[in-house]
Amino acid sequence: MRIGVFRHGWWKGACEGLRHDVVDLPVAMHPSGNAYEADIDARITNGTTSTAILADQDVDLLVDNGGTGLGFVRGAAGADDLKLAHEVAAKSLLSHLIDPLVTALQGLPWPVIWQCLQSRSWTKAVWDRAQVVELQRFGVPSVIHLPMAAQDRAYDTRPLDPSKSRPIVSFIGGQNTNYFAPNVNVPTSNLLVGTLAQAVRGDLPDTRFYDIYYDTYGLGEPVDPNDSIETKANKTLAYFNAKLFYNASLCLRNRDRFVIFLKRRLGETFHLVGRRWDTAYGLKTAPRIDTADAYLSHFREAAINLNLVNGNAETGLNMRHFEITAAGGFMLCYHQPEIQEQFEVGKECIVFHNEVDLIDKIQYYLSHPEERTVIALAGQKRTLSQHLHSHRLQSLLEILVSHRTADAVCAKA
Amino acid sequence: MSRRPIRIATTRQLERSVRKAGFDTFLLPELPSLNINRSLQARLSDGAIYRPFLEKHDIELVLDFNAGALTLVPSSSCPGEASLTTADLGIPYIAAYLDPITSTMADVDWVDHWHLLESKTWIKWIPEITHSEELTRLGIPNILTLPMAVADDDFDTGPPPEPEPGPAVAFMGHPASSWFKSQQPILPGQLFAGLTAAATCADMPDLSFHKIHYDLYQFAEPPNETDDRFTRAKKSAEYFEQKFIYNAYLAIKHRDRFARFLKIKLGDTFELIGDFWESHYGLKHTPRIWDSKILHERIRRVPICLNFIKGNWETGLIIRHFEIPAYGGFMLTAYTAELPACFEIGKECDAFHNEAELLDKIHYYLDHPNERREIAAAGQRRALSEHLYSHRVAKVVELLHDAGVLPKKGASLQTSQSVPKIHVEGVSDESAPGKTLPVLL
Repeated sequence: MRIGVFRHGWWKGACEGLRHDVVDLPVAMHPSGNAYEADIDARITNGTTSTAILADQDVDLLVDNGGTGLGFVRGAAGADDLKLAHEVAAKSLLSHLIDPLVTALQGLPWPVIWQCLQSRSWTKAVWDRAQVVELQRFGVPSVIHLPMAAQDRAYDTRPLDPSKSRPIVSFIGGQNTNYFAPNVNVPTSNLLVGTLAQAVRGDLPDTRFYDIYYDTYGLGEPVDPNDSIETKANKTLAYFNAKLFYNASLCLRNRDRFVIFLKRRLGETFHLVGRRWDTAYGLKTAPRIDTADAYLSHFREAAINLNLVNGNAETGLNMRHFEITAAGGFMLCYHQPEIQEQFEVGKECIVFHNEVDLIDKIQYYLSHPEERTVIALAGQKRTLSQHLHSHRLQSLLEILVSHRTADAVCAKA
Repeated sequence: MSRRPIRIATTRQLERSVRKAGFDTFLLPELPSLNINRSLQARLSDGAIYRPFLEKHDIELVLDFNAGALTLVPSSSCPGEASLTTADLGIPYIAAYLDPITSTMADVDWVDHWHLLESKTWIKWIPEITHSEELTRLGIPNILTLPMAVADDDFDTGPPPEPEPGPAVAFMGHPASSWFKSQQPILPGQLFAGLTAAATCADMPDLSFHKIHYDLYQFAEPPNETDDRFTRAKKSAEYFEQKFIYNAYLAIKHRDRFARFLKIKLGDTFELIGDFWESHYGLKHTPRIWDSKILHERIRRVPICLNFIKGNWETGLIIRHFEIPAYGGFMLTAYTAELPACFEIGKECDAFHNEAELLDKIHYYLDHPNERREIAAAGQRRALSEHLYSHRVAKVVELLHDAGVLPKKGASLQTSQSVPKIHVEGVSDESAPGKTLPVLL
């Protein structure tokens, strides 16, 4: 196959791993350097460039990360006449959404996002099952679940040597919510829905925000397939605004609390790398790791690699689950509902459920290096055999083929 | 030789229970107000009414709810200062709390309130283990921990009446919090400690706020003996300010969410009896029932009487836990950690842990009226045999005897060696016009 890859190393490596030809395509950018902030103009520029490239190339599929390949082409009717670039090029676009829509497409106005989402030839591959259900129930077509993965590359697959490990607990990851930091008041009424969802989830841990918001508590009117696009956009905007505080609470619940806790409990034994921990909470951090090789080596050197998901995931796993294990590191992570779909807990990684459990397991595994080695090796075998981007791409291609076959059968019928 | 009954002065709410417990009972004189929030100045005026009464009747113990009967008098031992009326007379005083201490004495300056609580000359009967623990940790002495109960009454122990047509499930109470309705602005940073506690408690439900705050996360240090009284009061105020957010969360978690949920799922089958549900959450409701006889009859008649605790308790029970079974109602209650100590769940009441279980159990018990009646009858037997205030008062007196707090006739109460002072603003000492009057506790 010939696959158009909107400049992203992961997908390029995956294509090469599967021996598909790659056509490099540019992504829409923003002056900040954050492609998620690309606005309509940037996406018009990029869409126009991409369609020109695609006009000369026989490409079977377009792939991007986070919707960065979503572009526009201006039509003949004027400034407001925009078409989706991949539809103009008559190609299927597959976006791996590893952040919520409101983050990945933050440069676009919400009504524009909502119109784009209606594209059936744009497959939205979402990493978090709760958000898959959310989009599907909003009536967004072509939404599938696709977990994150590790990069296709060469990894050191030798068993860990306990004598060379540093007796530290390491966490690499940023402090990702500034909700609690700004000196701006919020009215308490804005906190009700998030507080309610947090209370329900405290008693029913696997409950999704969507279920709480619509099914259990009727806090909003669900999207009706017969609603106009504008109504759908307004309803979903209200939903995501209500979810904002819940996501901020999840940041605290899933990540920040444990970082603060471990810094106080373990001091220097807890090796923290990441931005904003110092400014947000006054926590001392280690310098960032500059190269990919050093990053992967770090996972093999640290006795325990902690993994804490961000507040933007309700049920899914983050990239680090796969990076740590691919590198051959020993992973201790906070429980997420989807962990058991990807790893055998207790054999390929270890999960903790609260602060006491975390400390107990740190103490246990610091004093049982051989067990760490066995678990890390099993985790690496699992990831390298099932959780690389090439595996994800293969799954996607199979899904797309089956969908096309189904469409063809339906059309024939 | 049996000891003669001790002489207890109390308020109207507890009068019958104290008498039923077998003590000589004296109703405290009427005051201009029994408002639990009234100022120290008002309480100083009230002391002039109580003192002669207590002396005249040779009272040996004063008992009230929520420190409503806490009064002050000019000290007889330290001229120019004031003390608790009871302490000045050498009488033990017990305040039985129905709410956390932060819900009382709102019109008293926090430093003075805290200083009063630190006094060893009165006993704080706290109905929740968690609140007792945190108060003890904050340096409050003389804490007595006993659950609430139901005031003694003429209970109907006959077979329950057939349900009347109408709602089959009822909850009687107001919303637990107006905070989310208030639109008051708050800096998100102020939410941090409360939200951390909420997240932690979701994973470790048995962990109380003070343990999360002080031990697990070391967000602050509790007051200690070397702190001066202002620092101690400041530290306690900061602690409760941080906990306020957690309490707002608990208000949703323990009560308000379930009311909303059932209104959506059951519609008019669920009757919400109380005020403010419409204004706070847009929920249809019927007004609070002020007449206690009518309220108790409703408790007894409705097939399923729900109970949701408020956000100001973490683990404890509220009066309704005892009221519903005592009046013969079938109680389905949100689970709280201290429930199994008072009732056998599944036999004397039933409990739910989440929305799904609540709905399941409502459907189940509506389909099984005989089981409902058996549980209600067993709950009533338990409540009437163990959970009346007469039982509690008897227990309290027994504990005070055992601790040597209740003196023999003529002996005086051992008061604290420390003599904290409180300045009551705006109240002049006659001997020093214009100066504030220090209060000797």
